[in-house]
Amino acid sequence: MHIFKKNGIISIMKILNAENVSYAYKSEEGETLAVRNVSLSIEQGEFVVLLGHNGCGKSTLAKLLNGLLLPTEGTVSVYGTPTTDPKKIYEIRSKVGMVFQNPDNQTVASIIEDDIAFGPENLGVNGEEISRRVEEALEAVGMLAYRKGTPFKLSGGQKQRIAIASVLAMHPDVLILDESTAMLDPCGRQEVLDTVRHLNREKNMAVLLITHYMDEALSADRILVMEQGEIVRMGSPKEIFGDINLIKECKLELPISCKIGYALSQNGFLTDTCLTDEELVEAVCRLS
Amino acid sequence: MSIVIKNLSCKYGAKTPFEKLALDGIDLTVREGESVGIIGATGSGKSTLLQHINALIKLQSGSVEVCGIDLTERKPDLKRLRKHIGMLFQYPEYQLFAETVREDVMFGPKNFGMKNEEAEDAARTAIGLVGMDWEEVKERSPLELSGGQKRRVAIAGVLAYKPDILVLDEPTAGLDPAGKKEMLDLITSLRQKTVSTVLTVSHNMDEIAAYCDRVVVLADGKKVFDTTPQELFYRDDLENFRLQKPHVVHIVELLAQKGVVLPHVLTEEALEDALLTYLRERRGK
Repeated sequence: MHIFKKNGIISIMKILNAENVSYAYKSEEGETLAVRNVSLSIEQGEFVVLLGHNGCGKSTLAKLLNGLLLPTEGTVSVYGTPTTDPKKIYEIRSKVGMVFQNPDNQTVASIIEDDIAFGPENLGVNGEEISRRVEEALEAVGMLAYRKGTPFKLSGGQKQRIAIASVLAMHPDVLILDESTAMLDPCGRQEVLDTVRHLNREKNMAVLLITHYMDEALSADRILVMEQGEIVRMGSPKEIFGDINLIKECKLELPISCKIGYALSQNGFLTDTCLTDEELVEAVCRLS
Repeated sequence: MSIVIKNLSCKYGAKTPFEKLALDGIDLTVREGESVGIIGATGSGKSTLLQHINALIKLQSGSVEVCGIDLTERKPDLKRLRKHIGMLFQYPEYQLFAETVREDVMFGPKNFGMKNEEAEDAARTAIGLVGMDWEEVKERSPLELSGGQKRRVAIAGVLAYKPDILVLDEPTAGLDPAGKKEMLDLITSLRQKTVSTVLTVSHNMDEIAAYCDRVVVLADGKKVFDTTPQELFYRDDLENFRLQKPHVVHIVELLAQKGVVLPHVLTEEALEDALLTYLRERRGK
């Protein structure tokens, strides 16, 4: 835990902080501003979900958070170190780990344990410590039994768990998942989400989950909504999904239970927002 | 009959330690005008089945007949077969290759022997069918378009050669909610206007429930169910086949457990109506 005392007040340290960050892609036709003046921070152990339609700048923002892209304006800092510091960039990337969409593009070795070892090896971690970390990381994603196997024969969900493990082996404090479940079947998706929840709850790992699946956002501590490069709203799942206009304007979707709940409230039956299927069912039972 | 498959089996890696029976005695008939969904866990044989329909894989045992073309013949007319079938693989936008939308969409019709002018007409019509403006997009590079637009251009490339059957592999995977809705609306409108027979492979049960007349379930290469979505999704043994229920069905079943019994609906709209009717009746009492 990164807790520090200042003037006698104990506060949880921000791992990641972005201040007034903008990013423009340059091309022959000029500049396109993909991220506009975004400020956000992520604290130890938080579960944050980032929503927004295709092309709203989510992935660009994600890449700014661990220095894969450097801001055109503003600063991103990790534990106070700006991502523009070339001497610290590897340290920053080991603290802010990223998992991408396509499971096939994220493996480097033909044996799973070598793949997991790749990150810490590059950080100059010693051999004994590496094998300890490999074991710990595979254990955390429930793939220890596969350590001597090859990643190519795994299912999509298993491959993504390996991708998560290879990030974990670098001991990050934040895990960013950029649509990491988009290419998976429902079972694979569940596997990956369960793994991420477990890491968040049991190991207190902060998570930033970028997704198009609204139901993945229901258990978030905070939801950020992005539209045309800006973060237009931040709030709890109840606040975000309770605001039907926001959902429409940002081309998002209500989870089915919310949608039905909303229709019932329009007809004067309900007053609360129902987030999950269970909440909706309970609300209906109370009515009858 | 559009597609008649009898006793189809297929083995991968025969006579090696990796031998796997990917399809095991499949019988399947798809009639003209039907929309059939094919579902099953990863590795259940869905893709292998699709590949047989378009003769992308050599027939090992059993028979496949598509639009009157018998694939058990020594030299079936594959070109004619592939003109009958408009096949869209997963993430079809990765298969766009030409420098402009026009060239990309014209590629199919030209390959099937249309002259330039005729092919351009066909491309224009196809782009219109997928809800895009020909004049606006024809000279643009497919790479500049958004994800949902690219996918529509890919569909236009298939529609341009006027197939009789549309085969879609995960048509909404990777799209955002707005893109998903657009795609489902597009498929529904295509069924009314041009290609009435559609075969869809999907992991998204909500989608299958919404627009398929019939669902075929594969498990370990075998066909285990072939029935209506309504009957299938209200079964209580779906977990055995690693299948999830559509959200709407989940809600209806949870309600039933608590004593609120509703009709077996499949779509959001139907559930909304059913609940409102139920609650109004209650209030009336």
